[in-house]
Amino acid sequence: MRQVKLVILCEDKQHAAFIRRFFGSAGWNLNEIRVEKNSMGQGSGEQWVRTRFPKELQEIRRRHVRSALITMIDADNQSIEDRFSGLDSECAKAGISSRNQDDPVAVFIPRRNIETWIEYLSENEVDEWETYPKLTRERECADQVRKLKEMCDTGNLRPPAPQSLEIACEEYQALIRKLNA
Amino acid sequence: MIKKIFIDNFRCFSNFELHLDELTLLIGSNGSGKSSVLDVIYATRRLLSGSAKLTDPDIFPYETLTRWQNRKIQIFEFEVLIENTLFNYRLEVEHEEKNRKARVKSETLSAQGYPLFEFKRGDVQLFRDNSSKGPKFSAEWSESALARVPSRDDNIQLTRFLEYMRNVFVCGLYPMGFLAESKTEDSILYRDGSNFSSWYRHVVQERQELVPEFNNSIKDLINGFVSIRLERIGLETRVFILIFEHEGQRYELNLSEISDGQRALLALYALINLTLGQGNTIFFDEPDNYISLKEIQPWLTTLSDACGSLVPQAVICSHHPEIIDYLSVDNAILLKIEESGLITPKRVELINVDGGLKFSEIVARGWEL
Repeated sequence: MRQVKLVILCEDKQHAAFIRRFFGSAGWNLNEIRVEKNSMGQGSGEQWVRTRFPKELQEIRRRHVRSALITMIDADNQSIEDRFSGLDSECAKAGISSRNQDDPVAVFIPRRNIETWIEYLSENEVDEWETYPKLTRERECADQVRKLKEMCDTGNLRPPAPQSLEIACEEYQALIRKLNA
Repeated sequence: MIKKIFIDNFRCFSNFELHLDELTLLIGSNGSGKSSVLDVIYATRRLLSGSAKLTDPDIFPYETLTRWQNRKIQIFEFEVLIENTLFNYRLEVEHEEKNRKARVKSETLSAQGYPLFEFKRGDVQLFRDNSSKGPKFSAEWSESALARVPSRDDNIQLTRFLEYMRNVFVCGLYPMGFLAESKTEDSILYRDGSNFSSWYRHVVQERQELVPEFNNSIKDLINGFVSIRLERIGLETRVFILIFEHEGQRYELNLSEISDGQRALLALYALINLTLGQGNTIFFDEPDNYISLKEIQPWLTTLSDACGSLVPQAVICSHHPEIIDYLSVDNAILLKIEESGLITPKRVELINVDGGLKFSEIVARGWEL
């Protein structure tokens, strides 16, 4: 029986479209991916992901089947470290330990947001504190995701790459190592 | 893409104007008119296909006049954007109280504000694509005269509009009624999906290249599914057969032998994968009925990915929390019953619903109002 192997916890449709495509291109069955995203539209996504994170982390730890949790949260005007510690604080509030090295969990934190990565993957130079335009349709990120997958496969992002994307690539590689262990 | 639908004096709709996007979710309590919107679209499509008349009991019957009004004229208007040309189609239906008969009072079509077709007082005036006046003739009051206009070199715009509207699908699937046997090839799937076999038969003839992708999508959903074949059991009759494989052993089941949920899944994925070039706008009435909880999101993501390409436009009416939360506030239009009894559409994103709850939880509490 088909079971969900990958849970994507993210802010909005653009996050979901980007991550689904990325993992789809990495060979994951799209029907085994479950998206949990903020259903309230723009504005409250970061808080929604942060508060939901402990529950999803707990569930992933409980599962016997091999499954993983991908979390995406925009840095916005915060630092990447602030966003990581925000998730840790929510875990502490929920009375569970923070994400550890054994958890099959990857946390992607685009800075300033996902549009920054999309702009970079559209062959443009980016400033992680700038705001870039949204795509008309979320699924139009397909070409950019393909480029990211190609760069991931070769192990090199095109310089100068956004630091947040470099960190995300490390998160991805670490997750794959854990899943293959 | 259908940009706007205007309905006046039909059930609870009075001066009702609904704006649609590439992907729209219609929500609202029971009786808020979601299915009535689909009834209007379905009836209009059938009139424009020439397959129905106002004398048919299910095409804008007298009983559909708004009960608390005395007006006897119903107005249905569509704004449709086709390749950067905005079409406006308006149909006025007049009802006679005495014998409860309905007739077309007027029917007009324009493109970018220029007339293409006018039917008034029994006379049709055609206009050429260059806006010059074309032929004039008399037509029946009980049917769409536009549907009778043949395609010509000088009415390409009119023909494009007709082709678009004839390929609008309205689906409220009832898989128990799907027939395994097919006697004809049907270019349109009926609203209840009962002619699924005949429609599939048509698609296989017309767009064979789409079938492998469809088969692949079903393999992932129905355990052991291999492929579909149409078995000939008479001169014209075919039976819809599904081929399965279990532990190296092949076996076959006909469409009526699989479960209701599996039939619904087949139709829902076929509507996405096999309508390329024919399903211009697809209206889904509670597509979540019959299918298991875990199948809803994969179907929705497939539909969302297809919207704007394989499926140019989709509109979903649903109460299901999976659908409400996945499509989220951004895509939702709430049909609200006002104290007057009339229905008004509201963009939910404009209502203050911020907080820690999921959108479906807000809707379940009626707090989106």
